[in-house]
Amino acid sequence: MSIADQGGVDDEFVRNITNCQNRLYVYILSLLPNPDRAKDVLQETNLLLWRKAAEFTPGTNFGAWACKIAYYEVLTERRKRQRDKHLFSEGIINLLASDAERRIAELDERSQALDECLERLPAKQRKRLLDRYSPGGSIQSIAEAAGESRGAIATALYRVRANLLECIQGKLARGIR
Amino acid sequence: MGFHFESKDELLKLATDLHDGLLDEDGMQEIEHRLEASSARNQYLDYVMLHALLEAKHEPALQGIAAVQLTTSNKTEHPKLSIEDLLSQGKKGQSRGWLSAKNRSMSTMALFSLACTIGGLLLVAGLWRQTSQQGHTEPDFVAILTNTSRAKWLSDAPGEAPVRLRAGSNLQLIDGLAEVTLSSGAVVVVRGPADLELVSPMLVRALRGTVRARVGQDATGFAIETPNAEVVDLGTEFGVDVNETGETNVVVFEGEVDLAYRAENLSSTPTRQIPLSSTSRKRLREGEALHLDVTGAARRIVSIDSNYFPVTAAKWLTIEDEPVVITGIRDNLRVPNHAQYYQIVHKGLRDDVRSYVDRAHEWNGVDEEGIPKFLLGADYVMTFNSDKWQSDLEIEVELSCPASLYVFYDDRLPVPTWLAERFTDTGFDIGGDEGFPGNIKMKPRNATGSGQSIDTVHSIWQLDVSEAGTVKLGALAENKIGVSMYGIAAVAREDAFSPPDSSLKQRKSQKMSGIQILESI
Repeated sequence: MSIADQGGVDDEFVRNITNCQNRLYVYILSLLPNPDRAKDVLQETNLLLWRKAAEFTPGTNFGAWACKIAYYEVLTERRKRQRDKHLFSEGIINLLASDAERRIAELDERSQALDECLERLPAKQRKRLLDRYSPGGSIQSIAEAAGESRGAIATALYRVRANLLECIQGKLARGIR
Repeated sequence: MGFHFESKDELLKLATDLHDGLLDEDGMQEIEHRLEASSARNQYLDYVMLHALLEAKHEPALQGIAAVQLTTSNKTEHPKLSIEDLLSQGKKGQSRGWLSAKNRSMSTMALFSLACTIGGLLLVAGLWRQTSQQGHTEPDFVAILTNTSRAKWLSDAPGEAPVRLRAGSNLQLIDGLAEVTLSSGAVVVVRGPADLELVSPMLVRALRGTVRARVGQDATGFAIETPNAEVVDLGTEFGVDVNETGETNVVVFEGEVDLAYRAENLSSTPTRQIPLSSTSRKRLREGEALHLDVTGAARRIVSIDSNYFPVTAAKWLTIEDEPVVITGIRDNLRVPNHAQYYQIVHKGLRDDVRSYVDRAHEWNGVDEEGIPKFLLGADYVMTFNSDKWQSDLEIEVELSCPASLYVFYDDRLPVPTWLAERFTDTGFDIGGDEGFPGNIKMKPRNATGSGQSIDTVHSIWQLDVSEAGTVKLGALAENKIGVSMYGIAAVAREDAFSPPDSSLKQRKSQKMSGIQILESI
């Protein structure tokens, strides 16, 4: 019997929190387009989910509940950084939020499709992704290392991502499962 | 730039620039304008999903999305994955390169089972983050304070649970409970007064206090060091209790531990180990417990109280608030090296509770009615099943008040004189679920609920005791292979807790005994 079984948070709640981490991160990141900010908000959201565990009614939509809590955390963060010009306005955040909650339901399917798409990616393009997404990687650092302009690297990466998106859309349209 | 995008492509370019941190103010206005259209929002969200997935597949750590490899199959086998692995994956520069490795081992299910093992809190994902926004490495966190109850701290509290704790953190509890999940997967519940140091994910130093540790397979080797002992886990659940004079009590609830005596050197590095009782290390098994004094002499612990080593800090198991009926139990076993203990479980009797300290057997109702109503919530004693081999066994049960004392006696055995003369058969039965498949048909191991998978039937015998005091019980009538030791339970009589109107009904101390140590062998 686990500690959780004996009066702590129940297994169902743990499962819910576990299963929603990815979708929750995407949800937050879409509203707050800065990975560090988004991870901080995810962390805050997780703490809140945990503290409010007792308020969640089992059997109801955990994802929706979590998104709502995350949404207010995003707004709080947004208000703290009013002068940050690289964040969305509250109006857009509001518009995006309801779409995001629906859209992220596809995340697992997209992940699987992406795995297959990545396998078929030319080595050179893979390398570009690796450089960009490995810890510490950024357009800036790649440009410096390669002696190219940021614009050139960004455009090259844009093409890789556009290819991947097209590949994923194609697989989803054909129904990969 | 000489590069022309169509509207759809323009949005994608804006989105990639935004998430690459390249978008300027004008670009920001442009994307906001476009996102007013619903189709654009969907396209943007598709990109964010791709971006986050790429991030996750390159940086497999417990950082937000990266926590879970997005394999959808539930049939993936569960890999052995220590939480330390997960922690280290979060460290900068330790990318696993999921793209090439196609590491599919970390399925959602695996993480889920892991989460359950450690009480779930690990998945408060951000808590384990090792790198800050600026990218510098923070000091190592070795644990999360996952819960507290009525905790009074000596000085500064570590913070409101859940909060991360660094290596070297001290937990100084004046009173109350604290639950700590180490990154190794070990969960310790501490009862104050206590003074603990979290040395590493695999080592806790206890100068004082009562600690219950539940250690998963991945943390085998987890150790608790006390002033005079070292207790090394071998995959188990155990308790360590250090009193104010530095003596150590060790109790094994499940599995096994190795116990070694440590002589406290006057120098600051007390690591010298002295063989315990002339054997190197004493291996304690399920249902065994030992008291170790400062000279290294070991004595048997006769009984422990279930509340003494709380299972969780999530709820306060009151010791003072609850009237205790069974306050103590002892026996006449004076066998050298005998280390088995009785566990008194207050208000604990119900269906599916464990019946012996040394076997995973359970008490159950014999039919769908369940355990007889008059026994629900009774104090009961987990005896040890190897008691049954002692033909001269005497057990003394100490009651704090007038009570009905019950003995659950295996029906396959003749009734012994001590039972027949003083007790009355209530006509009710209780079932023992031994957790083995039956001989005739396969039954699930330790099936849940009344009437499920009953292997033995025990008659419930009753003795009404009119005043607080000690009742003596005897041995089983016969020693036969396969029969079960009897169980013991007690319920306070209805008038027991009303104000005493006669000296006869006066109650003795209702305080729980905690740990009873055998005076001498």
